[in-house]
Amino acid sequence: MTNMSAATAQLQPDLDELATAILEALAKVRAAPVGELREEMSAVGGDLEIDSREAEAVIAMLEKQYGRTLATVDDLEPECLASVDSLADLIHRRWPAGQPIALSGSK
Amino acid sequence: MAVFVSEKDVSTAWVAALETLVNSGGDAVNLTVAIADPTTELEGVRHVLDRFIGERRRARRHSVKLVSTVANTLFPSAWYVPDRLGADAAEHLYELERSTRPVTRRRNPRGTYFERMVAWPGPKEEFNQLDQAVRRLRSARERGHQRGHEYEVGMAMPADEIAAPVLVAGKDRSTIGFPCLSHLSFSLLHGVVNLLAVYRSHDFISRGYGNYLGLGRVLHFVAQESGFPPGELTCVSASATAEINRGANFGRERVEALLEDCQAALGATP
Repeated sequence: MTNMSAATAQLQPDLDELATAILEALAKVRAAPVGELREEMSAVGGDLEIDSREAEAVIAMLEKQYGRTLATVDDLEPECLASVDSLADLIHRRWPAGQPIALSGSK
Repeated sequence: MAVFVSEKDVSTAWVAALETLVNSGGDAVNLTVAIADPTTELEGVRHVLDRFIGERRRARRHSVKLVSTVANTLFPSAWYVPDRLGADAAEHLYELERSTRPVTRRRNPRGTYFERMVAWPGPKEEFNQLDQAVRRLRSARERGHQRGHEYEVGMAMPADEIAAPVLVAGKDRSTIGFPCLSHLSFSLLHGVVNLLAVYRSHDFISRGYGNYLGLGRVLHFVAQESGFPPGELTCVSASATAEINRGANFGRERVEALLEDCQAALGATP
């Protein structure tokens, strides 16, 4: 029998989960509803361009949420942080293999 | 000998100043550039400059930064959303600076100019100099003041005056690199807020354009939050270089070609 923490902990989030988490964090940065960002993404073909400082703010929020470092110095170059998809891909690649997600706000 | 340039927008001013630098051998002291509207630019010029910077970055990524990156170190405009947040927009901006600082510090271990403006490392605690400037200007507006020279004292402690020092005595001992920007000073005349920025050293191609844009955004923020219209930006560079054989060391041929391309971009603007 597993306890609640063990049950909710999971291995590396997939790209869709990361994209959702990124979108929610980006909505906080832009002070905009998540639904509005989703509509904007759909209107431009599925991805959304972001400013490098928006990306830094999103990374900081996700690092706090997941309790781990998600980007190296080289990852923070603006060419690496151009859109929601590229940011999700970057964080997905940087996720330490085999490590579970910390519960939100637990760290 | 001091050099003075006065133009209407960031792009025109930057190109005129670069031409002056190149024609004077590449370097100048006390380069003073006044920009009537530092919140506007001509995208064609920025595109040419970013292409030039991008070529260098492909060879040596960390050697130079794109215009937007430079401007963002002075003011991260994406974090300021007054259209959505109204009176809460400034606090949202400050909070994002605080929460993002651990990530920002990875690329900028000594901090950014914006951090110095909103989280000045005081002896006991951080001090938000921009907020102080906004509060004092807002108070002046509420009292009907159109002129604010009484706030203007050079080399002042940030807690006492409407000035924003960037250098920290005893901490900034490096003779190269951050911070090249020494001081910001806001002044009010005829109901318009103006900004003076002083650089001890200025790499004009790597940094100049982005610096002017970023400073224009700082001025716009302070004006918007205090309720006054933004006026002129004047930037004094105690030492400025066109980076022909200093700074990023682009070489004369490349710098002259860049200048020609930028002048063409200016000319192509309707």
